[in-house]
Amino acid sequence: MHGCREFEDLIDREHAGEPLAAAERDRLADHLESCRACDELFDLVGALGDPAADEPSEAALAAVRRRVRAALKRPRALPFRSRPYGGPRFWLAAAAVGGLAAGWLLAGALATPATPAAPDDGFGAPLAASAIAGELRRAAARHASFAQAADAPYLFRDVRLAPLDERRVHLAFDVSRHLELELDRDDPLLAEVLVQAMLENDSIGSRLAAIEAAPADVNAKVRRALVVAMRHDPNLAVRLRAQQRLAALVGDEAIVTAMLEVLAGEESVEMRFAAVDYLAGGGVAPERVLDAIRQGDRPGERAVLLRARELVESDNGNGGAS
Amino acid sequence: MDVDGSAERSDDELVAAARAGDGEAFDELMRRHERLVYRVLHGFAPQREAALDLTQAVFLKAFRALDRFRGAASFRTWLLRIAYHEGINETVRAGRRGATVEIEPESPELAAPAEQEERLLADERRGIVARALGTLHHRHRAAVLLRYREGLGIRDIAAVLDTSEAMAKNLLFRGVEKLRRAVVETL
Repeated sequence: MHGCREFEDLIDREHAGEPLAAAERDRLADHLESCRACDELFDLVGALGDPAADEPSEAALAAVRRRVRAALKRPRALPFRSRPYGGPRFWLAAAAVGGLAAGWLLAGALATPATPAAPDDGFGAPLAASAIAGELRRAAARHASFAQAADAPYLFRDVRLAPLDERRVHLAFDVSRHLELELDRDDPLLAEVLVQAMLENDSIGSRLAAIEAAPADVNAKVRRALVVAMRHDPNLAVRLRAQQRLAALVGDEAIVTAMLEVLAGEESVEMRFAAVDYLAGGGVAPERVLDAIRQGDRPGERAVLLRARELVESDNGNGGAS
Repeated sequence: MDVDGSAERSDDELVAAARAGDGEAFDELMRRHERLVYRVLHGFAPQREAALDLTQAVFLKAFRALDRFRGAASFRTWLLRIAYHEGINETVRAGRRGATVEIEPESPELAAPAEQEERLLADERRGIVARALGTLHHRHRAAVLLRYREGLGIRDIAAVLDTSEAMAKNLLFRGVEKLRRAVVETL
């Protein structure tokens, strides 16, 4: 599709609501007349942006708003709090919780730099995934063994061929090489490859393998990728394995935040149990843990709350603050 | 415009008011963004009722997390992130249920035969694309939907997907390529 790249951009802009100039529109129309591949792309992208028939009625949306308002007014099921508190045991627990919170705040104040990190709206900072080609070039400059990559065979996949006109064809394919390198542990290429394999791979096996392969002393970038995999991978096995790897890393507020998000948003009870264990072991204030659990309103919430209560009581028995 | 003037307030002002307990302000935020949220979720849940349920869940989560919204991104982007995560969860749930993608036809109103035929063809085309869309990895799917259904710029897409702009472009490019292939396989 040698000459089609420009028209792909025009198709992209046309369907993304970025108006084309009259001359651009004319050129695109002429090209679509003669290029079947671009014509199909134009129709495909156009069909994506045609949700009119699926638009819900105003009544349906008003019903959604009513349900949201009703749900917000309704008291949420809190089996942990619904039990009657009584006598000295309550005050002992309250004091312990307060002690834990104070300890956590003090520890946070000591550990936090003078300028706090920018707030991330609960989702963490964007992952800075640089282009792997750049890393490969830099790695080639650092490693003599990398030069041998030139001898490695190329692997071609997903080859597609379509005629453009009598003389030219459109060829599309994925190309890759299998490489074996010896790198320093802190080589940026290592982190880049792991991150890309964890997050941008359609194969569950490859994502799991990348998580397994991450070294125990993961750098910040890989750690961040593990957090994203734990929170957002569509496959439970991948999310679980990422969580297990993160559970071995303590003292990281980003992981604490992610574990709280697991409590609030994850369907898997097993993962929420593991999050409770991590947070309790990391000395996070119990009320933060309980608040996160209560945000979830998901199956198994009672069991997770009971687990959290056991741990709080266990902490109380051990003297409270950590 | 609303008589109380809430439509003239910015999203940030409405968020601040909603945090302070102004229910009307949150209502206005819902009204402003509900169709956007619905459309994104519809890309993950083809059944209209399911997409509406998810829309409700997104606004509940958003309200409960309002205190954590710091304005580093716009409210719309923040809301889309929540919708995206909810869409992923729905993908996981649908995978467990073994759900198939069924596209609901438009309500069968009386129309001229030529119009009916056109509508049927449009329904069929939407169905094919939606089924193909359902086969994409959720990140590719989200990138394609946000770009071509919502007209978001690359920067906003990157913010919603929690990635770099370069990666967002890559996801979009690969998403369209995979969609094109998936449509061919669906036919």
